Amino acid sequence: MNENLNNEGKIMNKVQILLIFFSILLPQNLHSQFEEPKASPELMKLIREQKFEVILPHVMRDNKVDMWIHVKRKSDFFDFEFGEKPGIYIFTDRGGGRIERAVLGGQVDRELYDILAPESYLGKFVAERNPKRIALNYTDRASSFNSISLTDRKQLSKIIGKKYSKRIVPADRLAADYLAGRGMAEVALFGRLLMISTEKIEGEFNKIVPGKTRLSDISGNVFVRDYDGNEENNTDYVVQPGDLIGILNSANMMDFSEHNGGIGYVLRKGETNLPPEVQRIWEHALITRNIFRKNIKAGLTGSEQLEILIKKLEESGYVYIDKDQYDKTADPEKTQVHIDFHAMGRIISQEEAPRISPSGWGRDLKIPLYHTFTFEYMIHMPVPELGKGKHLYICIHDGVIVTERGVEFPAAPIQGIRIIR
Amino acid sequence: MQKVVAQRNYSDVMLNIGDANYGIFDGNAPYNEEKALNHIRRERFYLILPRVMQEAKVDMWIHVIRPWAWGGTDPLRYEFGSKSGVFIFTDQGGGNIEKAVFEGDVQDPDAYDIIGERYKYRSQQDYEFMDWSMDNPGKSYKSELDFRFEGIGDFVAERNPKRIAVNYMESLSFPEGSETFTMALTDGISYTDYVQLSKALGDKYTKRMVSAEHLILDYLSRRVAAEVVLYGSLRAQDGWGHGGKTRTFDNIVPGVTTLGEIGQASVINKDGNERGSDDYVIQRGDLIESSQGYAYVLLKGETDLPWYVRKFWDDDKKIREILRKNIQVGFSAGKTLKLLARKLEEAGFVYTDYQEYNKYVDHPRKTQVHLDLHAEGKGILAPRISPMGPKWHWNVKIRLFHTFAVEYMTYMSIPEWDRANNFRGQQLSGFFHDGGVVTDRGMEVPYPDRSNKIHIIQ
Repeated sequence: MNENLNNEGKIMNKVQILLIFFSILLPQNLHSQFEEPKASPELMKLIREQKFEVILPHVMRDNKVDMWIHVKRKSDFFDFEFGEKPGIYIFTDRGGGRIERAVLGGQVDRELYDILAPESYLGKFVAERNPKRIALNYTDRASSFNSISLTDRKQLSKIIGKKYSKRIVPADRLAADYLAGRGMAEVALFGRLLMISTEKIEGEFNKIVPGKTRLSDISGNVFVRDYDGNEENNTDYVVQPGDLIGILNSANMMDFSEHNGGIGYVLRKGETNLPPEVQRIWEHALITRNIFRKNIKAGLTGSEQLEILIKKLEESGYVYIDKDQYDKTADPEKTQVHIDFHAMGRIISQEEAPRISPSGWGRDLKIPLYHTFTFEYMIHMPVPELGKGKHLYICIHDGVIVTERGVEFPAAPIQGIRIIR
Repeated sequence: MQKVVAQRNYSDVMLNIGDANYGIFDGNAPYNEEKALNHIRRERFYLILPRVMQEAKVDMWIHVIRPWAWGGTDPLRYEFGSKSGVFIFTDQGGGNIEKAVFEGDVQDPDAYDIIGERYKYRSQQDYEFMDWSMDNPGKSYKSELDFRFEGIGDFVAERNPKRIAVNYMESLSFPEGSETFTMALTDGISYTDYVQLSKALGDKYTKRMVSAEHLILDYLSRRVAAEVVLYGSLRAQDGWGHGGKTRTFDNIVPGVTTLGEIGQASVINKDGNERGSDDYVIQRGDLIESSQGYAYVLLKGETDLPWYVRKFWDDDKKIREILRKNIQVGFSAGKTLKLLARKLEEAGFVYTDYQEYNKYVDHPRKTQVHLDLHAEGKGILAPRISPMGPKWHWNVKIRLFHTFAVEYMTYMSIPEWDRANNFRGQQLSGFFHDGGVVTDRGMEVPYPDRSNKIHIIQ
């Protein structure tokens, strides 16, 4: 999406760029224009309860963990799942298909948790349950999941003693799996947010006056690339006839978020419809969408899935590229495709979750059933009639869910390249 | 944010699509309904249509919505995005279904591969037979009906289907099974159209026609993820029917607040007698049931719920857990009902086919549970996990993302109430009606239901 950054050697992950844009832009502009769903206590309770019931037992067993301890001293990324209050959250698999939920030293919703007890009860609590493998909120790598403090870690080890301290393992994979799991209330929320961001994007396209509107006047992540791949990204560049403009925009409810994309083409003088090369790149978007849709299923890891998609793309005559940059050394006749199908829903999950992409830690995580993610792919289509190396670029960004039937669109994906007059 | 009411803003599309069929569209939608409808239609064409046709062993499906009925009661007018037309779906193999529509306007032409105007077919609606007269001077036709299925014979012959499903009934009864009992769910083609269609198809293909009744019901009963979004997200924001009343359970003042002030509500008082008028003043000891859920007003000296309210609530939680764990994709509704009845009995309840307390059971003190878990969202009640409805309701299988009403009733005998009412048989009855969706993991709830908490009013 942003070759300039790459060229300068400051390779920033696209998601990080997006998050920065949205965190700056949304509170000032978009939130005031579009009503996003409110995190009512009833909805939050339902989401939390469903995740405890249908996701938690699976992810604990998949990760071979019979106790999960999450020490929470302040607001953290599990506010959405567990509740905002500090405390020691302990989930224990005691058999029977249900996970016991306890909070020591915290004031939480009594209807969601089975046991509320003082923190001093920790040692006895763990010993009584005699867990074989205890996941704790730390990791051995740089990650947002590294959230327990050194003091707490030392204190906890001391309280539960050597026997149980030896059984502690990092909770990062378990946490990622839990965050990536979706109950149906979250699926409904995801679809609703997708529809809202689509409306926002349409609103932004409606604002554009060619020759007057600057990219910086448009909310969201807004970008235009020329035929050489040079990108203007949220700059003061004034929209010109012949531009293919991409807009990504988001919608949120608390830390549940998605972002979506739209594409517009500014007609040149005398044009009444999309020129042939723009129609052609859109056709490639639809062909590749169908390849992705037919070849993604739950249960594979992100990297396994990526290999399958690369093979299918190449069988269909495309060149897969592992960077979002036109490869000048590739077959000049072939259209190039880059993929970054990252998770959507929980903001943290856009990074720390199953990911069908050439980069990211989550590539080794399995894609769970009802995983919500994005069909984010970039098409670089050669336009040889304009000269060697000249190419057109679009970025598609639609929200999807993987079900037993394959990939479904919970809300309408991009319908076409919008004409801007 | 755009605020639209589908019935008003898209009256053409939404004609007669109301409470029974897609009532959840009718107000406060946060987005453009037409786009949502079009998207769902396309998803269903892509994901569901090939499956139901293959499972029904049908390689062509012809569905006629009569123009003069304006699609008034056709169950597929929303599915196909039209209130009149001749719809032909042909299995071309490899999971591809060709979608064609003749003699009708469709809301979303891009959802179809062929529409009449692009094919040799004349639209009576547009009086194109007058063009025929212009093109054929000196010739005449016997009747406009000669044009009714013009071109269909060739169209079908080119595709040479082995089995053609057509929308007439063969074994199911009339509209029973639709939410309003007004939609003839599977019976649409008229006698005249049937005769004309047969003429157009000729003997060879007429012989291959079969009833589409089960195919139609199967298509209607399945859901895509986008419909779960619709079902869950719109219900979640509709305010739970508080009717604009500002008072909630939290600010009820016993002896002062009336039922009318908290919206649609009724109470059972401490002696087991029901009160429901708007001007009834809420008293201590009342158990309140309203659109917001349940609440109990503590008696003087009470610090917690009385035993029967506590039990009522505990029973409800147990019942929900049984439903959550035992409603599964792939089972028929009838099989699921038997399973649930057994699980309820094993958990200490009495399952009852009746919607009232049954005093003639072996254990009259046990809580009795009645189930009517009928489908929701498409005007079709099947699959229906219930002792009610026609037999076919029970035979329909529960599919992925089946959206349904979590509707059940409980009847609990309370000896104190018996005594207070001269043993006339007062019971505590509970009525629950929320929404559920079935996934690979069992029953899930797509929006916050109203009955997951009992409020205590001091």
